[in-house]
Amino acid sequence: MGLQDTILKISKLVFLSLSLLVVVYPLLCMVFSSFAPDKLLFSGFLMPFSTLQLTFRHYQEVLAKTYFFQWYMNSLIVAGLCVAINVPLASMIAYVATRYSSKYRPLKLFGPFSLFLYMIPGVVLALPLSLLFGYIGLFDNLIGLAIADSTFALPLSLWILWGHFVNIPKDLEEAAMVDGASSWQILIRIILPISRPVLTAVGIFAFIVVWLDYLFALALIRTEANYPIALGINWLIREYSFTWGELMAAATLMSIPSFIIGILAFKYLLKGFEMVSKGVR
Amino acid sequence: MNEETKFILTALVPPLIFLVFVEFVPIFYSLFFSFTDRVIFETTYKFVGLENYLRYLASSDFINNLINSFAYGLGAAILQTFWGLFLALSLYKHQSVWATALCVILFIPYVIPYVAVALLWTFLLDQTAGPINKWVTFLGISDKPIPFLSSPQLAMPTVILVTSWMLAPFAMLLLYAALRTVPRDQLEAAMIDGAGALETFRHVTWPWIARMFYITLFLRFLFNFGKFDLIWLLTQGGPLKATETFPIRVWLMAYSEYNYGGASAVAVVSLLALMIPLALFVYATREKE
Repeated sequence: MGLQDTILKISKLVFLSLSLLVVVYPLLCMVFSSFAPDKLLFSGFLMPFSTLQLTFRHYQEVLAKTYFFQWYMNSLIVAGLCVAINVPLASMIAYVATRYSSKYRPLKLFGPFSLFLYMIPGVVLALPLSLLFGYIGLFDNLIGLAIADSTFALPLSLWILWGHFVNIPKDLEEAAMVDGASSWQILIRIILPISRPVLTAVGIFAFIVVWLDYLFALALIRTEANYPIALGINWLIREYSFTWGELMAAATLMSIPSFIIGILAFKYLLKGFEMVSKGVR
Repeated sequence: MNEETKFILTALVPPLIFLVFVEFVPIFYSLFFSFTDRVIFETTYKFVGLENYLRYLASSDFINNLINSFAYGLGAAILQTFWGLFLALSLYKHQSVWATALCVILFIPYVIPYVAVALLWTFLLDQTAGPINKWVTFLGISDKPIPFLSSPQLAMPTVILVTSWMLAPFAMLLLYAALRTVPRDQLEAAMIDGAGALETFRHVTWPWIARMFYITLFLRFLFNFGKFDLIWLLTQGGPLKATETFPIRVWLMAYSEYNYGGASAVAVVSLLALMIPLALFVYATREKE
């Protein structure tokens, strides 16, 4: 037993160090080359921070040549809208489906149904939506983009909330019912307040979906002024010749909110999925 | 109508209308136009029956797309889930601040936008400036830079690796969450009984997380199978269609060939190709009563 455990411990350490290297080295390369002078990038560039010659020129160029702040704002607006659509919709569906599934059998199909939604490839939706939105004035519109993005966010949100609602003891609702509370009052006054961490996870998830998205923006947005940040940067690459330093500066600027979300969100997402794994067992 | 029925109707119907509008109307729209010869920027069209399907299924693209989609979907799913599992297993027993910090750092690639990930890896793998190719020649693995993204043989494995780099943290998160629900007292009891780490895993930990593991694996497969962004940004389906999956074909047909009818038919085919694994999965994980 002793030897086996020691070998396991060592291989665990080796594995973790390698994983850390694989994750961190590319990120350091990205950040470092955004500050490195051009000539350095083409000479023997192996290790980030191998020199202290730093320049802010790449950042100045990116910010001067693009509508960076406008695009940033667009992304934030779409993300906010998507959160506002996603959280209430997902909580209503998931709550009704879990609460009444023993009484109304068809609601049991909720699990497979959310999996089916998760399965639909983005392009299958993006193409028809670009035509449909054209008819109702949502094409090339930030609200339209938020609606489309919520098709990515909803399935997993439903799943997280389902896992959570299944775990809420029924006594809580029954006690409130005896006190004469209506179903809406129970949902709004009791269930949602105790679900705050999980709702936060769902909201963060919707935000992440928008922040990452490229496909729906590509299919649904035409005007430069309406570009979210991902589309703007991608468009630039095709239109102008940028140096690697400038491109890495753009990538770094796009990733700053990601670093912040990653650090803040991890705890909540973990909580959300703990609920799910209690639910699926 | 009693209060409860009213509640169910008011809480369920508006969200369902939204879902129908954004999920089901588009699918039926695709289904409808897959039987027409619609061109993307024109509104007139005529019905052509099964022609779009027959032409696509008879072309070499169909088999190529099918193989590539399953290779990408399965390859990335397996890599992500196992990497995620090993990461989660290595970290979950340590309640220290360091373990949590490590988890957060390892989680970061998942929240970086596709465009930034694609830019970063195009740079890393670049043949003249890319750090990875500099390492390759520096360490003597190959005397010439390796054309990771522009060789038909290497493009698919490279795209799978980049996708997994970005998305493995999500599998890690799911499995880490599952591992945290394993009851501590059972782990301690196993340890007191003198069970080794492997035995503890097999008899205590694994039974608790097995279901979540399979779900993670399957969800990752569904997700990658239909994923468009990273492949498009890295290779646009090339070189020589080596990374062309169903979504890429749909996009190319719609926006390069303007063949909306044909693109819709491919979209429907890709959806049907996913129905079989989905049905199997739902059957295998159904609730036993």
